[in-house]
Amino acid sequence: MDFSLDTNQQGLKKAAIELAEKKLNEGIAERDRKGEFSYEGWKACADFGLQGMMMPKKYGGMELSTLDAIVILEGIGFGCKDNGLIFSVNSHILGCEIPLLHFGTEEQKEKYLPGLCDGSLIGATAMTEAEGGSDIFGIKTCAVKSDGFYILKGSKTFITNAPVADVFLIYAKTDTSKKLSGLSCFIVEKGTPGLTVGKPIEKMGLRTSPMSEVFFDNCKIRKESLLGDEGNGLVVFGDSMEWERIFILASCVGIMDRLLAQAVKYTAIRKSGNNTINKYQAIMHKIADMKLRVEISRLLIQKAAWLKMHSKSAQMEASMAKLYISENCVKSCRDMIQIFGGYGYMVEYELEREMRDALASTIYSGTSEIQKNIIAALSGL
Amino acid sequence: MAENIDEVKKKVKEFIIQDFMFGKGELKDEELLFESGIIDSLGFIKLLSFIEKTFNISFNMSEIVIEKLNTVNSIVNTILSKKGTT
Repeated sequence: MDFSLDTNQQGLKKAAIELAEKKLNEGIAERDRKGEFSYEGWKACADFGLQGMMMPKKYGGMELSTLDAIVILEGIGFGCKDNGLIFSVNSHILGCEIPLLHFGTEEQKEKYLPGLCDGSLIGATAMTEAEGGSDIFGIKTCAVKSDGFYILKGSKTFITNAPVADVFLIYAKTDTSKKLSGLSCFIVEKGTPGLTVGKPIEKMGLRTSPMSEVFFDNCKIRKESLLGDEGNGLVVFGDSMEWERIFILASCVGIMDRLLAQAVKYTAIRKSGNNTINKYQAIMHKIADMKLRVEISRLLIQKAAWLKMHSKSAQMEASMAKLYISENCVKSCRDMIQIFGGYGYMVEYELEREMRDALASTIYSGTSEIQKNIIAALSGL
Repeated sequence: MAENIDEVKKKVKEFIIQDFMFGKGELKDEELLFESGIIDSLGFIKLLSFIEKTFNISFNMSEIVIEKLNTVNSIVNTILSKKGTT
């Protein structure tokens, strides 16, 4: 067992922090206010290799291990204040690239992965519908087979990246008489007749990550657009979710670590009475809590990534990491606002944005309540 | 250690009856577990976890076919096939 980063991983983390600090943060307050996606930031991430970091080299990726990937994502989170941009990158990797890599035919991989890796294509995944969030049985969007094609009908909502996406993975019912085996996954390209992307949805946080509804009005797609076997969409989605719950919050570990460093620095100069506030136990305890959260989060995520590196199931570990990190990232943001007092509540100090962004993490990729259901079920309940 | 079909079936049935049917009722070998509502999507994850731990096998998700885990018999066949005993 080794808890240290090797020289290569230290280099990757340092490079990720540098990328973020130098190229991803400029203008974030304004973009957040306007709800604006940064194509420049997206391209900078792609030039670094972020979008393709876990993809094989033959498709243009860096072919890094899962542990290397979380080290990079933690570094990105530490350096980057544009949490929406990183959320979009994560959604692209975990919701689109990973399922294509795991379930795609060679032809599908060769067609889409190089563009997704170099950032010239943006990916989105569409499962959620207006009448069902976590309830995948409630899905109404259907795909009817007809003369070697599938005809998609229905709509999806809260689709991250939809306004800027080139490639969508769409989950739809191919057999309404079946439950688990009635769901299938399809690759749909932007511009396909019958596919319409709605207006961007305004959100509380992660405002620089674009989101909208997606509509399918007799959208005709080739049978070769099926990803994985017909009726096996739940497996594609389950695999995607397992990976997503491990990796999507790796950047939040970096965020929590950055907030901790900021708290230590600020409390050493901020005075109340004759003392700097770091001399008061009320502050010291908050900082101790923040430190503990970073360490526990890092261990949880490293264990889950280690399991995937060894091709083992990590459903329980993924849910534990997702639940713990999301809830505790919110707590650390809240502690920061308390430590900063009135300043913490001001937009200028950028903590309210961190708080707004962090709140989303307890909802996306399965709410905290869903994670608890999974943990309980896999604990034998 | 090689396990025979009866031992595997007994363990699978006991698990499903205990964990999804409150320890009661009869479960036929060809009963459709998903369509009948015995196992839902969360239960499916639980089923995979049970198979991996109990029979010491590891699934690559891309090799899983839901239809091949839809009955007691098909689950048993999948397990035996994975363990190379069929």
